[in-house]
Amino acid sequence: MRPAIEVAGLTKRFGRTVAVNNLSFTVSYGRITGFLGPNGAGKTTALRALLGLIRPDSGAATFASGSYAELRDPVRAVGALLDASAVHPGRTGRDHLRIMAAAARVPDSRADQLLERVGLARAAGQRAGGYSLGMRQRLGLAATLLGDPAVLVLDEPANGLDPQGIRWLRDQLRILAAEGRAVLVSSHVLAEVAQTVDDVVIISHGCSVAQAPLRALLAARPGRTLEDIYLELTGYPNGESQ
Amino acid sequence: MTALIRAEARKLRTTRTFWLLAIGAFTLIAGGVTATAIATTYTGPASPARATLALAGLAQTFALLAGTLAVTGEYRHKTISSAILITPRRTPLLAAKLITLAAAGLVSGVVAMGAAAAITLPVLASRHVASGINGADLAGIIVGGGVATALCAALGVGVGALIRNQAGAVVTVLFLLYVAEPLLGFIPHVGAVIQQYGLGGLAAGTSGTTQYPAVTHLLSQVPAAAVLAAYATVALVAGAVLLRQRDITA
Repeated sequence: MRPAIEVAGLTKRFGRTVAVNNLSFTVSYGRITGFLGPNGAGKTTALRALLGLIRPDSGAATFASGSYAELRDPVRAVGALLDASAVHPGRTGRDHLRIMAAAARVPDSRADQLLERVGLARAAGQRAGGYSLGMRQRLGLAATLLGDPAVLVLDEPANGLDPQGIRWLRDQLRILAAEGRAVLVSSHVLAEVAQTVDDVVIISHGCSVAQAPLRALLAARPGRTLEDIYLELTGYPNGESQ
Repeated sequence: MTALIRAEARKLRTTRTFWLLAIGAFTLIAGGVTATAIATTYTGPASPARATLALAGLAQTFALLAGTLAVTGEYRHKTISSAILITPRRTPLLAAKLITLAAAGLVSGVVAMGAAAAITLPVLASRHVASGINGADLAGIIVGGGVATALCAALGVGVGALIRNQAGAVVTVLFLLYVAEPLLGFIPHVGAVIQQYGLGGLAAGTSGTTQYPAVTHLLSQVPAAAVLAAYATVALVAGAVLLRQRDITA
């Protein structure tokens, strides 16, 4: 079976800056893959290239049935949350979701069910400008599920969530992966990642520096935490000696 | 495409922007037309009715802004990414915006010109001022007002696709309409060309009114509409090409 996501030799430059440098990794169905790296490591650029929003200079990023542009019905194949703040502040959460539903030919009732599922049913009629970042993350997650896709791509979905929200998100991701979906989730919150993900891909300066099942990564370095390993691999000065 | 148009219509309906622009335009037009119809002493070569109805041309300015905001708003609020994720080929997204905004412009323009006529003609009649237009002329003016407003909304969509920055796009449009064209209009020889082929002159020509204040040597309705449509097409095609090629980073 082909992997859900396959990134192969992906390179993207912005002017002289190499944002993503020959990056390769795969994501499997039924597993949560944590995509980790410092700010500016190229995570968002890689995700945007995967989703066809950015044209890579070389290499490819594809789903099992082809590149994002080749997907016959992208909303039913892939759900993506790139930036939770990307909501018109004057529009209600319900209208925001229903606009996407209309464009994707998803019934309004599905949008309303999802608002219920992410815990926004009561706030659905309020303007999104008044939403906290956590509420916007919930709205963004609802949007990814509109087409009931088999692949989810989430950029920093835990940002702005309170502890209850983080626990809720973890449970949601576990459920989604248990249903057989592939979940690729970027994050900074390593303690959270360590409790949530099955596989990790760590990148630094646009390159992959590690990718393995989390358990194998930890087993290979007894006594070290994911944070220790991450800091060592991404070049934190004292990472090695701690 | 019908699904995308439904989504665009929802986008338009669910923010205050469109309603504020519409209410603002109708208020200004109704007030301006009433005052002008009461006070006009127009004796130029166009008819008093046409010179008064020129004020309804404000609908075209607002339509140009509405079209621009419909595109730049997606960049400003970063909703462009999710819109493109649903429509990866991108051009249909712009086409749906074009159709939706042009349709809204057509309706708004007909309503604005119709309302302006409903105020102007009785007021002129009560003052015993001959309107100088017959029923067929009036029909042409109302339809022309709708077409001009639709074309300006379409042009606005094209401008928004070219200039993503919302403030930049709005300032550009207003500068063209209210600073560049009026000033260039004063230059001998060049001025006459600007009055005919500038946006203000073309919108007034398409509507079959005059500019405000009255300028009469405009293109007639069909040629003016054709030139305005050509401007809109150029902006839209260039905007579509740019949209397809751009990296969407926000």
